[in-house]
Amino acid sequence: MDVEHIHLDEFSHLQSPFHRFDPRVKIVSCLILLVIAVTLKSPVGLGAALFTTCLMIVVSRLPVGRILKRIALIIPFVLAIGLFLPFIRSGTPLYSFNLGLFTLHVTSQGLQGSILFFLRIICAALLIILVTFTTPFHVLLRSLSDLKIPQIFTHLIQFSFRYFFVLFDEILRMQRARRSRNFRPAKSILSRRTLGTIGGLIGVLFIRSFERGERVYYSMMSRGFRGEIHLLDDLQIKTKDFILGVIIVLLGVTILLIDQGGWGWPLAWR
Amino acid sequence: MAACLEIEDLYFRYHDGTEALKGVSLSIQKEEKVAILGPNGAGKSTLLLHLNGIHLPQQGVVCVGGKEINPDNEHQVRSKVGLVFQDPDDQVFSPTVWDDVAFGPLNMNLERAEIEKRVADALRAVRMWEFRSRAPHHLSYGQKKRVAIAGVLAMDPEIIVLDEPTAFLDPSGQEDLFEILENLHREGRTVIIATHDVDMAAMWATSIIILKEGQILAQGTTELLVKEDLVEAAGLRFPLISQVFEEAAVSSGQPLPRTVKEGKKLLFKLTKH
Ligand SMILES: Nc1ncnc2c1ncn2[C@@H]1O[C@H](COP(=O)(O)OP(=O)(O)OP(=O)(O)O)[C@@H](O)[C@H]1O
Ligand SMILES: [Mg+2]
Repeated sequence: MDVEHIHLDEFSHLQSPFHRFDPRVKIVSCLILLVIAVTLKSPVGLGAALFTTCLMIVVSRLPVGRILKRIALIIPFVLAIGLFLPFIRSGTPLYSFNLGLFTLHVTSQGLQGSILFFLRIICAALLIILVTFTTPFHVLLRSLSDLKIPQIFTHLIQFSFRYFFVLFDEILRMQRARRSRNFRPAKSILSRRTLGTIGGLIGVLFIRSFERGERVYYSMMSRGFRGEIHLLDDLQIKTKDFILGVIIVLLGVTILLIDQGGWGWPLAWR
Repeated sequence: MAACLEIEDLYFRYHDGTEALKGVSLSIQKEEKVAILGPNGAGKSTLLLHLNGIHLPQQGVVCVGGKEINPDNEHQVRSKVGLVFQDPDDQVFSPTVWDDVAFGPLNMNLERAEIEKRVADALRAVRMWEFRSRAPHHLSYGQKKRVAIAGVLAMDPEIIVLDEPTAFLDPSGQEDLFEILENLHREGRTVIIATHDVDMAAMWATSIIILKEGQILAQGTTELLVKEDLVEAAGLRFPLISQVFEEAAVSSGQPLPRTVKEGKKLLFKLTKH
C-alpha cells in the first residue's frame, strides 16, 4: 500500500499536562471554551480567547509548524467567506468599486465583521486541533461514547476512519489499472468517454463498499456481535483533571465578561 | 473419535439465484486438520459461512458438537467455531489492535481479568504483542492477518476455520502461519482451512475435502491429491513433490510421495542402489 497515510493523532503520545488531562473533561471544557469563543463580539475578547488557546498549545508542547500546516488547510475556505463579508454588510462605506451596473461598497462594519469572523474560526480550529492532537484517536472515540454520544455516531466516525484508507487504496488501484491499459482522461471532464469511465469507477466503488460492508458485518457476527460494541471502562477522572477543567471554563467566562463589559470595544477600535 | 462437525445434504442459494451449495454432506472428526480444496467459485467460502451460523441452511442440517445449528443457538455456536476471513480488512475494524482482539471476548461477557489474559495470550501466540496499541490501518497485510487470527483465538474456540489463510502472504509469513496452525492443533483444536495451496494441503492436512460446483467430489486422506482423475476434475494439480517424482515412482513401483519428507525418503531409497 503506497499511500502516505494520514495520522490524525501522531502527537498524541507526547508528554504534557494536556496529554495527561482526562479526555472527557478535556473535551467538555474545551467545547465550552469553543462555544464562548464563537459567540464573542469584540476584537479584545477574541484576542484574549486566541491568546488563551495559544497558551494551552504551548503548554501541550505541540509542534507549532504542524499546527500551522493544519490551519493552512482551512484558510482558503475562511478567506472565501471572509472576502464577501465586507461587501454585504451595510454601513459607512470605506471604499467603492464601480462595476458599471452597480456599485460595491466596502463598509467598515463589514470589515470588522469579517475580521471577527476570521478570528473566531481560527480560534475554534485551534481548540479542535489542540484536543485531537493531544488525544489518541481511539481514546477520543471512547470518551465521546462515555459522554453519552449515541454509539451510532461514534461508530460512524470509527468505521469511516478505518475504511477510508481501504477505500482510498482501492481507488488508487483502480486508477492504476485503468492507466496501465492506457486510459487517458480527455481534456474536458465533460467528454463522454471520460465521464463514462469515471461514472463506472464510482459505481464499482459503491458496489465494492457495499459488499465490503456485508463481509465486515459477517465477520463481526462471527465474533459474537449482537448490535452493540462493548467497551472496558478504564478511564478515571481525578481531582487534578476536574480542577484543570474548571480553570479552562473560568477562563472562558472571564473572556466572555471582558467581551461584554463594553470597555474592550472602544479601546481597540477607536 | 467423535464427529465434532457434521453436515447433511446442505443446499444454499444466493438471492440472485446462484446455487452455491447443492447437497453437501460431510463429517469432520475432533482434532483433525482439514483442507477444503476446489476451483474458484466451488462454494468453499459459502460452506465456511455455514459452519458458525452466519448462513443458516436453507435446506439440510449443520451440526456442531452433535447439536444442530438453528436461530436459537447460533450465538453459542460462534464461540465454539471461530472463523477467520480471507481479507483481514474485513475483520480487523477496531481503532487499535488490542481493541480488536478484545472485541470477541467482550461480546462473550467475560470478566475483565480474563479478557486481558486472553488478549495477551492471543497476541503473543501470533507474535503481535508489541503492536497492541497500533492502529490496524497502518499495519502490513501479514500483520493484519495475524491480528485477525488473534481476534478469533481470543475467543478460545474448539474449531478454527480459516478461509484461504496463505493467500497474499510472503514465504516467511506462510511459514509462520503454518507454525501457528500446528500449535493450534497441538492444543487440541480442530483446524479447517479452505485453500488453493495444494502443497500446503499435502504437507499439513490429515483430511482432504474436494468441492466442485457446490458438491463434494471426494473426502479422504492426502492420497486424494495424487489421484489423477480427481485432481483433473477438480481443476487442481499434483503437489510439486509428486510432480517431480512421478516417473521415478511409477518406474520403481513405489508410492508417489506427496510431501518433501516422503520425497527425500524415496530419493534416498532410489539412489542407494
Ligand atoms: N454474495 C453473493 N451473491 C451472489 N452470489 C454469490 C455471492 N457470493 C458468492 N456467490 C456465488 O456463489 C458461488 C460460490 O462462491 P464462493 O465464494 O463460495 O466460492 P469459493 O469456492 O470460495 O471461490 P474462491 O476460490 O474464488 O474463493 C459462486 O458461483 C459465486 O459467484
Ligand atoms: Mg472463497
